[in-house]
Amino acid sequence: MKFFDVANGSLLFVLVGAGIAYVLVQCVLFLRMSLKRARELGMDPKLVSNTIKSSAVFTLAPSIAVALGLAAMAPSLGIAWPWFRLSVIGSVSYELMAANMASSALGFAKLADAAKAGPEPLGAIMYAMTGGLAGAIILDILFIKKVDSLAVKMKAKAGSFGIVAIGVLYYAVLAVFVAPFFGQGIVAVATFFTSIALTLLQGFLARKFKIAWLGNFILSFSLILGMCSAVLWTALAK
Amino acid sequence: METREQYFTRINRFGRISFAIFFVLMFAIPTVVCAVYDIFPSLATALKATMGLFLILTPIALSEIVSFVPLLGSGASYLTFETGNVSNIKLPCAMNALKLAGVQPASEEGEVLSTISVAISSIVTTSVILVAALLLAPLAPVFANPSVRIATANVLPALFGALVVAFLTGGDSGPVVIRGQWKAFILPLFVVAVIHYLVFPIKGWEGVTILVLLPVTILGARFLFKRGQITVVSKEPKP
Repeated sequence: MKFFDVANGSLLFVLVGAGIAYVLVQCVLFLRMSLKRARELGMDPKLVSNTIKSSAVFTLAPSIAVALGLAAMAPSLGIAWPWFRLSVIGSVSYELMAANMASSALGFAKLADAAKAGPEPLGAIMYAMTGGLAGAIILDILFIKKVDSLAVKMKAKAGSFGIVAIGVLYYAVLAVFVAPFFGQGIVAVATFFTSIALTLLQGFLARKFKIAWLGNFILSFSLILGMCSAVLWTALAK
Repeated sequence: METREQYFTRINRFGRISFAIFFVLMFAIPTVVCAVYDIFPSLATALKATMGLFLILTPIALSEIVSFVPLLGSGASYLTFETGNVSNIKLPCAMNALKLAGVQPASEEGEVLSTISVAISSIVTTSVILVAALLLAPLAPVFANPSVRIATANVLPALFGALVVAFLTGGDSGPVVIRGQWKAFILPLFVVAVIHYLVFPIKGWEGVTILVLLPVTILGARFLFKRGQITVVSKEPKP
């Protein structure tokens, strides 16, 4: 039996399909609980439906990047396991690194070499990628409730500054991702500023011509058009 | 109607139990495969392969919990951490939803909307990957297309360009408006730039850097707030 007989075998597809189905059911149950709560709180149904629409559109373009991650991992690990990891728990930026680290710890120079050594490395790689996240999941189960509860209390205690403090928390995330773009070459910088310009332009158009629906999709359109602009900047930079 | 406390307790109980079941399911997949094909690795081999990843991913998870849970709320956090792609899809998606709705994180409405947003986002991502998995062979030329590769390689600059505008220009936070909030972005940006370009590249250390930046950002904002550079104004007209 070869590596890919197991990696692309029907058993792994069935198991992975069941795992993904479980998470999808969970999403639906969380969604149902939140929609019910929104009604209880008397939230405007339009606000909720706008959230659903804008979230769906917003997610499309970055999901295609994740799908590309699947295409990148499939030649080394088959389709089923990367499909599982990228659909749940994994991140496109970490998964390939995780698989490479696991195969390197097994003594293979490259991930592709593991596939040439028969099906045994696949078991070890799957266990390593799963076990590597065990600590993270246990921390999530133990601390999400505590941290959330603490944040709500601290916000209330801090009065008006609590509103500011919660509002600026995301600035730390933005700063960590934005600052490095300036060292990633002209295309990344041009794409970043194109996206800024597109967002400002759409905001202006939505206000000037009172296009209410556009407001919900400005970020999504800027994201997609910004990504497309990278192709233009790459061609111009050559 | 449930009180906030009752809803909080219920959503956390559901999140913890369902996440724990997922944890078991996740380990069941390699276990069943290894048992059926008789390819169990030795314990020493499995530990050796696991340890490096465990040591890298566990501190990242800790920093993500501290940094992201106050923004997402409990329900969205369980879903976000379980479905992955946190900083590139789920967190920006939820933050965008709150911004559009003019709702604050760490509020009841914020918790509800971010959970709805992350649930929808997770369903969409899973569907897109399912389509990609089913059509991997016919889609291979599309995935190999240089333009598609360039566009997807630049998803983060495009995403964060749009987010920077959304988060620096808008100060609408439900019943109040925050003025001058953008000024609180200068200090963390400066600190990251100094660390990244003069000390060490932060690639791979984003989670830890965010953890360090959180107090810096809040203290900077506190200083600006005390100096009157950032103000919170009620939307209700004065009588």
